This record gives sequence, C-alpha cells and structure tokens, in this order.
Amino acid sequence: MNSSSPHVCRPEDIPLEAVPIVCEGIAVLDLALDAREGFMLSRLDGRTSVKHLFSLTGLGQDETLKLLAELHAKGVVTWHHARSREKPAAAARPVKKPASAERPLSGKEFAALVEELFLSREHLNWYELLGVDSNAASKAVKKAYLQQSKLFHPDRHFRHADPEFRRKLQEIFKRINLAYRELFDPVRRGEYDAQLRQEDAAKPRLDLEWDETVEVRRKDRPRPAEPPPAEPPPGPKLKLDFGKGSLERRLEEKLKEAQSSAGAQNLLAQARRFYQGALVEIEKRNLKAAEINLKLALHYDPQNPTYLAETERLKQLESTMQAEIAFKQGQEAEEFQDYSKAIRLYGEALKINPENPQGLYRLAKVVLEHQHNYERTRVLVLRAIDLKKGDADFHFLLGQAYQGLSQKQPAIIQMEKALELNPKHKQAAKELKALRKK
Amino acid sequence: MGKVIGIDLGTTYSCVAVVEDGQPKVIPNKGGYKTTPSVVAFEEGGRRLVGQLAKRQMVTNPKNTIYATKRLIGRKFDSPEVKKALASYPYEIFEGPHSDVRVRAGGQEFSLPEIGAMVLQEMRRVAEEYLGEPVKEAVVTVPAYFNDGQRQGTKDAGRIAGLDVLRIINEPTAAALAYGYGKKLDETVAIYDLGGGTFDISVLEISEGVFEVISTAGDTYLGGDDFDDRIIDYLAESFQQNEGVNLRRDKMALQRLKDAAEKAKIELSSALQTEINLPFIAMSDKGPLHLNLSLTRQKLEELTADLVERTLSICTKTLEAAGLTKEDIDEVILVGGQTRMPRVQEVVQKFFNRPPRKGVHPDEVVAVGAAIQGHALSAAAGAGGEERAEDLLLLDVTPMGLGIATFGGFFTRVIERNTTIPTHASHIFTTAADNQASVKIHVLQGESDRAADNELLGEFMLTGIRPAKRGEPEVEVTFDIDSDGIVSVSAKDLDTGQEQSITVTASSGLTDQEVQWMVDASKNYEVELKSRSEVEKACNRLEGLLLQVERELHARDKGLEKSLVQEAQSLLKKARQAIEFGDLQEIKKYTHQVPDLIKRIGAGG
Repeated sequence: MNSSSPHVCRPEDIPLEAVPIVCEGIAVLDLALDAREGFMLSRLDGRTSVKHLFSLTGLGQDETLKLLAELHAKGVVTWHHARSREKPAAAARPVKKPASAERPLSGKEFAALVEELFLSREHLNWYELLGVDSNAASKAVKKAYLQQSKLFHPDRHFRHADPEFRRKLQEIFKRINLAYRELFDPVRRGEYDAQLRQEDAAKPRLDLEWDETVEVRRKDRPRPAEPPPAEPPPGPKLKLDFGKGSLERRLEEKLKEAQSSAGAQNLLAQARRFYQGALVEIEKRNLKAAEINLKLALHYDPQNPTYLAETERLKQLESTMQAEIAFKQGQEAEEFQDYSKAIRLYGEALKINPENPQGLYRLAKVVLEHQHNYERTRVLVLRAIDLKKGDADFHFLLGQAYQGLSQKQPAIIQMEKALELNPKHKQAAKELKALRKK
Repeated sequence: MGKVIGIDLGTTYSCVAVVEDGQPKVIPNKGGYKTTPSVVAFEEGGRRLVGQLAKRQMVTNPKNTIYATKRLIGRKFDSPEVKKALASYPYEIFEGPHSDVRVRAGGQEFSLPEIGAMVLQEMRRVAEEYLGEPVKEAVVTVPAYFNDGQRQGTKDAGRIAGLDVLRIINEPTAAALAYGYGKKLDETVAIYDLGGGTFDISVLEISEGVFEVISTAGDTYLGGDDFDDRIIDYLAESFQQNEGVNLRRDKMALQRLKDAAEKAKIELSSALQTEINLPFIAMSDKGPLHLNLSLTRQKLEELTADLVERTLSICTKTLEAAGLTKEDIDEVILVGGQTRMPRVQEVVQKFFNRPPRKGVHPDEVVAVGAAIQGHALSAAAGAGGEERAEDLLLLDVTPMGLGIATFGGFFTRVIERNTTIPTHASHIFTTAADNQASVKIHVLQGESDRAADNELLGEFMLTGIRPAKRGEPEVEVTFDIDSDGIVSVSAKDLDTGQEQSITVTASSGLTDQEVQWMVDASKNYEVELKSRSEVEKACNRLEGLLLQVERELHARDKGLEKSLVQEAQSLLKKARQAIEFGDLQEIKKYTHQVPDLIKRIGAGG
C-alpha cells in the first residue's frame, strides 16, 4: 500500500470517478484526526465514488475534496480506480444481472451463504428465495431459477468432502425447486400471491423469545400466516398441542401420590427452598449460582417437572447470554474496524440465537459495507425483516444490497418502503433520488 | 482420482465412453467394435464368455446363452413381461426367493443383476485396457421409464461388478447431454430413443449449460427386439403353412430364426427386399427341410406398423404433459439402433414436422452422455470457481408419480411425475374408520389411479393414533427424493407427534446380504480368472518341455540305459497327470525336474 510514502495532492487533482478507500493496517484510533475528518472517514465504504460522496456526506464538492486530500496526505486514504468504472456502468447494465456473475464468491463466502440460506430457507418467501421481485415475468423467474440451480445444486459440489454441507445444499435446492414450480405456473403463482397479500395484512409478529408455540403448518409452504397468540386462525386444520401440558399434570399428580409420606414431604420442602434460591439468582443474572441451586433442588426432588423445565430454561438463558456477549464483542470489534472478527462474532451470536433480527441486521450491514457480499446481505436482511417487520433501516439496507446486485427495481421498492416506514430517513431519500435519476 | 467412465448398458448392445482432456471418446473393444453385445454364455466346462464371443456361439449353445436380461431386471416373476419372456427365450428362467427373476445356465443359477454385472465388468475391462489404469467409478444409464426397482437392480449390478456407480441417468437425457455438450445452446429438444428393448421420449430445455428435463415417458417393453419378433413370427408361420413344422419348438432353430430376422431387418434399412435362407433348419420324414423366403421392406413395415404407432401416441402424451406443442420443439434427436429403420425416421419427421438432427450416432451417443455426466460430477468446481465449458448441470425428473394407497384402493400421488429432483413434498391424510389406532402406509410408484396397478415400493405402519372419529386425526406423509433418486417416506401424526419413516431400497429383488455375496463371488471369479491363466501358462511351458523329452527319447532310442528310459517314462506320465488336474504346485515341481532329465538323456547318447 502506498500509505508509507504519501505524497501531497491538491483537492482539484482528485479524480471524481475514483473510489476512496481506507488504507489497510491503519489503526484509526491512533491518528490525530479532527471530527470532520473522522466523519469523512466513516463515510468511506470502499464502494462509493468521490462524486457520490459529495451528496452522501452533505458537505458539497469543495469541502469533500479538501477533506479527502488531507486524509490522503496523512496516509489514511488512497484511491481505488478499478471500481470507479464499475459503479456507473452497473446502472446501465440490464437489471437482472445475476449476483454470481458480478464477482465469483470465494469458497468461504459461499459456505457462509449456504449456512445462511439453510437456516433461513423456511423463512424466505418464494420470490426472496429466487431473488426476483414480485412483478418478475416468468422468463425472469426461469432465468433466476437456472442461476440459483447452478450455484446450489448438490451436483455442482459433488466432490465436496463434507456430507453435511452437501445435505444442506440438497435442502436449499429442494426449496429453490419448489419456489420455481410455484412461481413458474401462473395459476399456482396467483394463489401464492393472494396468500402473501393476506399475510402482509396480518399484524407484525411479536418477538417470541421464550414462547414455545407449536407450529402447525404444511411443510412445503413457507411463511404461512404466523397467528398472533390471541386469535388463532379459523378452520379445523390448526390445532395447538395441549398434549404435553396434560402429560406434565399427570406426572405431577403421580409424584404427589408417591411422595405423600412425611419424610418425603420434608425433602420436597428442602427442594422447594433451593428452587426459590435459584429463581432469585436467575433474577440477579448469577447463572452459575442458579445452576447449583437447581441441581440441589433436583437432587431432593429428581422428577419435579417444574425444576426440570427451569433447568432447561436456564440452559437456554445461558446460551442467550453467550449470544449477547458474542454480539457485544462483535460490536466492539466493529468499532475497532476489525470487520472480519466482527463478522465471525456476530455469526457466533446468531448460531446460538438465530431468531435475533437486530443481530441479523448488524451482521448484514457489516457484510455489505466491508465484504460487499450483496447476496449474503440480501438473505440476512430478508430473514431479519421476516422476524421483525416495520424497520426502515432494514429495508434501506436491503435496498442497498439490491443496488449492489445491480437490481434497480427491487432497490427502488425497498428504498420506498424504508421511506414509507420512516419519512425522515434521509439516506433512503437520497438513494431513492439517485436511483430514479438513473 | 481415476477417470469416471460412462456405460450404456443396453438390452442388446452395451457401449463405454470416457472424457479425456474435455473431449468425450467412445472406447472400442479388443475386436475394434465400439459396441459389445450384452450377451453372457457358459461353455461346457463352466467357462464364462461375454460379448462378441458369447453372441457367436449362441446358435450352437442356446440353452446356456443369456441375453436381453435388461427386459427382465427388477421385475416381479409373475409380471406379464416375464411370462412373455418365459415363452420365447431359449434359456431357463425361474422364480427367485423374493419373487424376483433368476436364470440358470452352465449348471449355475444367477440373479439378473449378476448377469448385468458380467456385462458391466466386460465394459470396465475394455475401458481399463484403453486407459491403462484401473477404473473404479462409473455413470450407468437406464431407460427413462425404468421404475425404482429396475434402477435399483442396475445399481446392484454395478456394485457386484465392483464399480462405484456415481449416478444412474436416463438414456434420452444422456443423449441430450452428448448433443449439447460444448455448444452454447438455447433450445428445446425432443429425444426419440428406440433401442433394442425399450422406447423413451424426453423433452429437454437446454440453456446456459443447464439441461432441464421437462417431461419424459416411455415403454420399457417396446424396442427393436419386438420388431425382430414380428419377423420371427412371420417366418415361423410361413414355414408351418408350407412345411407343416413348428420351428418354435426347436430351440436351435428358433435361435437361427432370431439371427436371420435381425439380419433381414438391418438389410431392409438400405434394401427394399431381402432373401432369408436357412438350409437344414428342420427334419421331416422326407428328409431335411430348408427355409427360403423373401421379405420386402413394405411387408416389414406392415408387420410392425402398430409398434411404430405406439411410440407416436407416447410422444403425443409427453408433449401434452410438458405443456408444449410440436412447434415448440427446436430439434429432434434420434437415439437407438431401431431408429435406423427408414419408416421410423419418416413417421418421426412427419410427427414433429421437421427432419431429425443428423450427426448424432444413435448407438454411441448414450454412453458419451453418461461419460459427460460422470466428468461433470467428478470435476464439479463448486462455487467461486471460474465457469468452464464442461460445467454443465443436469436437472433430471422423476419419471413416474409417487404416492400412497388410500381408502377404496385408490392411489393418491404426493409427488407428480416430471418433478425435478431432488425434491420433497407432503400431504395430509386422515383415518377412514372411527377410533382407528394405526394406519398402514403403502408407498407406490406409477401412473394408474388404482393402487393395485402401480408398483409397490415398500410399506410401513404408523401406530399410536389417538382414538377419534374418522377423518379427525391428521397424518402428514412426506416424500423425499434425493439427487440419486433414492426415495424416503415418513408419516407423522400431527396430533401426537408420533413419526415413522422408511427409506425405500432393496426393491431390486435382492437383499443387501445377497448383493454382498454376489460382490464376493464376482471378486473370487476375477481372482480365479487370473490364477487360471497362470495355470494355463505353466501347463504350456511344461508341455513344451515334455515334448522335448519325448523327442530326445525317440532320437536316442537304442543307446540309452533301460533305467533312464523307465525314469523318463514315469516322469512323463506323472507330469501329464499334473497338467490334466491343473495342479500348479506339481506342475512347477516337474518343470523344475525335466531340464535335468533332458541333460542326462543327452549325455547318455
């Protein structure tokens, strides 16, 4: 990198099409930068050209160029010319340029994408799965299907050593297959569209962290209406499972029968005390102490379903806390601009708690801004949106992903959605304007 | 990793190909032929012959010559196809332990996958000799309309032959791969495949290196053999009318008729008339009888008109299933030897309203396609790699619907035919009686709405259903087909969460254990074959030495000591005995002793 011998350059010498990027290996926090320079630095994503920065930063041409020249002189910023041509050209290209053709994914990136898709395959609707917008003509649907098949068909990875990886591909491809069959047939597609409209009308789903709802649905239909707990949907097809509850009750009665002698009563009282203790410790987030208390409670009353359930819950709580810790560390890493570490940590957090929309969003954002893996971003955000509807930032990021994939129409739709949810979303407004201009 | 070969295991002929440096190549056998007869024979002494050698001695050894087993593989013994074969095939067919089909020849009993394995082994040897390295992996083709049992049987044959069958693919699909390989195509093609034993029609869309099968259908008992049979019938009937002798009763005569019929059929593809001369075909009170008849192309077309018509009605159905009209087809490709018949080419051209594509070799194209698929699988670059010419992807379909038997003897499909695999689908069923505690799931494959008319792939019970009124319990049945076409089925009681599942396999009529035995037997045979040739060589060497002893003895007849002559005589006798018994140990011992004897005889003179 040329950061070791920075030469002074005048603001007017900076090529407007060039893309400024932060030099590798710079410890930004150690630099003496003022607030304006810091702000400029924070806007550099290795993707946006100088010209676009004028409007993106809101600083205007002169100020932007001046700041960039200063940063360049300090050896913090350099230019990337190769990309500068790609950006404007991308807009001129046909909208349906497949993601894979833009830039082949590396083995690692592809593995991450497969992992993501595997986890979210049941959450994505058919359009999202194929990566087409809902107005796409059947020809475009077919094209997308062929592209996705080329990427994910298990035969394309026949000699992959990991059978688990191939199994995941198989599952993903089965979904892609179904998606194509449903969308290519006009009658089935009509039915499916109607179903989607109904779901969109339904209320956004609540965050169900502890809730153990039982889903009754047809396996091959993605994202059926998630019923809000208060009003179960009509029709005889949906029956919630009460079997387990009644089983527990029966067990409890049996235990009571068996332990009706006085000595046993004493032990049960002992167990209850430990259990109470455990609850207090959980309240204080002393999970280790809580665990010991619960173990003792179970020692005196080994079959008690409440205690067993609490142990289960504690285990979940522990992993949730682990997820939280990983997430926090990820945020720290992001602050320190160690993005690959951040991505790894966010990924860990999501492995423990995959249903965390905020986590998905953060990961997606980093993946977009620093890896430029737009396809993976798209999948991540789609899952986040599926879990938590109505967040303007989510739609904005999705829009950016589509921009990266050179899919103008879907990008516009997402930007519009973002603005609809938050009319004050400045970035979305700006991007939308730029998109429409093109 | 060694090369992956592609084998077209045909009813009458087989062919093997490989991709070298990106170029597919058909491998000729030792005789220089690119196809090898799918015939296995057993000589008097139990020696096994495969291919050209076996076909050549067919007439003289009809009882011990096994052919056309592809028409029987994976079928139940009591099926009509097997009944038909029983009547017309000269070799012995009997029922195996799992109501499967077995044959007897050379005093031994064989399952059909074993016979298939012998042919596959021969093809493997052909490839190994050409490549000069061992071959372990293969892609083998089957008719598109083969059901699960027939495919499994073919897979078993591969296993017995010691081959790792990476994939079983459909013959018309393979032909399409061979046609589209290395070309940048964007078109819809129809493959009309009329082979020795089966007929298939497939419609594929080829674009961006993806070969997508849209629709496929066929008849697994309609092929060139049936055309031959029509000629045989004609000849036999004419002969009976003229001479009053039924040639069908005589196995050897029948075999000669079969040979002559095939030859006449081939000749009539270029000539308008042909003579059939079979001297001394039978005996009567008045002496030997000769068959002498002429057959015209027109007569042949008359005899086989309904067969050709049958293929067209299947074509119509296939196009309908694909939602296509004849005008949507950009190319028609003819595959299989029977498509050489001018009449077949005419009707196909008339049906599709366009001349069939030239330049595709009907006998070799399937093996080439199999080799291409093998190459594509083994060279799969995965994501991120640069796109290459050989990076093609085949999206194949399941040729028949899959489902379960439902109340009233009906068949309810869960996966429709022509569904791209791998796939899965589920359907919710319920009970038919009040308080029904269990359901039996019969897994079926086929196109008939009546359960009994379809192929039973397997069955299992789901028990523990909560007592309820009929129609209330919900049982979700899920079908899953993986990329190898392996079907698994699970049933889940949505009320209690009870689940049962099976993987549908072993429907080839052989158990896993049996296949393993056959694998071992086949390996032993290979070893035996090797050691036998070793014994033969040793025998020849010793025999040469013994002849030398005899010559020496003869030359110095008078001047030798009596004891030495006696010693020589007894050694000759013992050594000849060793040769007769093929005792390698003894043979080696005498081979060691004889030179010394020769020296002493020489010195004695």
